[in-house]
Amino acid sequence: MKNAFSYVASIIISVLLVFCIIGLAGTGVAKYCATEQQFRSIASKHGLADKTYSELEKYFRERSSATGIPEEVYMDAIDTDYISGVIDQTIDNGFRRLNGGNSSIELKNEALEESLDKFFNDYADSINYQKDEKFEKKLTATKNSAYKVIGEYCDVYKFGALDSHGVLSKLSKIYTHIDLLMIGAASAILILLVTLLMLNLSVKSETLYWTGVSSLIAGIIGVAPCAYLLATDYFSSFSIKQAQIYTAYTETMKLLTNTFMYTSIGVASFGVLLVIIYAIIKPKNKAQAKA
Amino acid sequence: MSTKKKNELIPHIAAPFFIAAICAAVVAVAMIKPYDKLKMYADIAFMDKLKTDPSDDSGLVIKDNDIVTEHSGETSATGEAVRPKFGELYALIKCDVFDVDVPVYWGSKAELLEKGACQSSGSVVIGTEGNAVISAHVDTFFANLSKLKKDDIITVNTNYGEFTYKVTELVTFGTNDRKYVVPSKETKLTLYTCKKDVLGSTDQRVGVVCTPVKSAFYTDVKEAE
Repeated sequence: MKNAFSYVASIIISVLLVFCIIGLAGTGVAKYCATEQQFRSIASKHGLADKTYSELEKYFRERSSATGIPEEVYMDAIDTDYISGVIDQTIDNGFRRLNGGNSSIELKNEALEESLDKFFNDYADSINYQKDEKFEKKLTATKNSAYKVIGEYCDVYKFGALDSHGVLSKLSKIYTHIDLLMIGAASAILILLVTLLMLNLSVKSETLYWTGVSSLIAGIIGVAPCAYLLATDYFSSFSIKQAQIYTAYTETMKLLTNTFMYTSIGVASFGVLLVIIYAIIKPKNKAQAKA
Repeated sequence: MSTKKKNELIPHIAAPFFIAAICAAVVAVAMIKPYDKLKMYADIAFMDKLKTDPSDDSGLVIKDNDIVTEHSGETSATGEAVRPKFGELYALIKCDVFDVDVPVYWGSKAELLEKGACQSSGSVVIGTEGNAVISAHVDTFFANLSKLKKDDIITVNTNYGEFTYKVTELVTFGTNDRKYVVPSKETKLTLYTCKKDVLGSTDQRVGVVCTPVKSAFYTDVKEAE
């Protein structure tokens, strides 16, 4: 160390560098993992359509005692392809909202409507009920209610709930600026590296040491919480009762945690490598500086 | 190893520990707020219908209305409030401090408290004279209620008008103390929740009492709906 000033200044810059590296890693993981493609891939990989179908079947069976409509009326008319399509639509719609846009989901299913029409008409005929305005209103309400339930069950990432409470619009403010945040973090890293280099002009290899230490610590800070979450299987302890939402939420959290952990391991390894290089070239540099 | 070499080595060995300690401390402090916020968002997103089984045999009919939040038509300082049905979403509370728009359901029941704030059906409808009493869970919709300060502005949107209130009193009371939740002649809005406690639920309640600043009844209610 040439003097106390450059030592203290290097420590301060290294601390800032640690946070900039963590910021860059975090925004990078968010940009490449929190995308509709990844979310759709989780939905298809973990069979969320099948899980949603089972949950809907359970719901309509339980409701049949109150509504008098057997679950087959709904479930024989819809299939996992339809559910899968609605799940994908809710994901796309959620991300469009995150990107500041807006759109609606198309839930219309001819087979479902025909099945409900047939059930209502057959029932009315069986009891000789005159099909009046009240009959039509009840039929329309049942169709709307079925679409609402299907929409809610297929919203496996709960974008609807987040949107209706104004959370999505708040997250959108960060999500739409993620590229800017990444560029900001990368620029800050560059500026801090140049400053480190200026501070250690006499022994340039010191820059390698401080950069290496910063990378190592940033990596450890990133790895530690992720390793804890994965080792304790933290996400599996969530008490979410609908299987498809539980799977979507836990698998997404695991993907984000895993990716962030592996990125942090990479950063830490890079830091170790820089410190090793510093240890190897340091004596050489010192000799050159003396000469 | 020479003393000079040792003197050079010690700061290099100590530096990573220094930096790690500083960073760990900063991360620990800086993560408190985002963690609380993320927890609240997760609770709001995944709480309704998921953490407790809605009891179908309870006879509770929950009606989620769309609340008008941007009304461009004519308004009047006086008008008629519409009394909602039990379990009906009839208002939306907006306040910078809350971070989320809080839906208000008429009536108080565990299932409703998981979907939003609940207004006691024994209190008065927003926009009418008397005490309108609204409560919500401290870990979700009223997580930030205790952060409200005197003179903060709260807006309540309904489908018949927009009502603005100003916080005038910050209150703490016990569950058996009915002083703040009983009907009153004075027109006010009372919001309360459980007092946060590390050891779990407490018998203490925290809240705010607000007085009306502006009432804007929609004169073209049917059009607005």
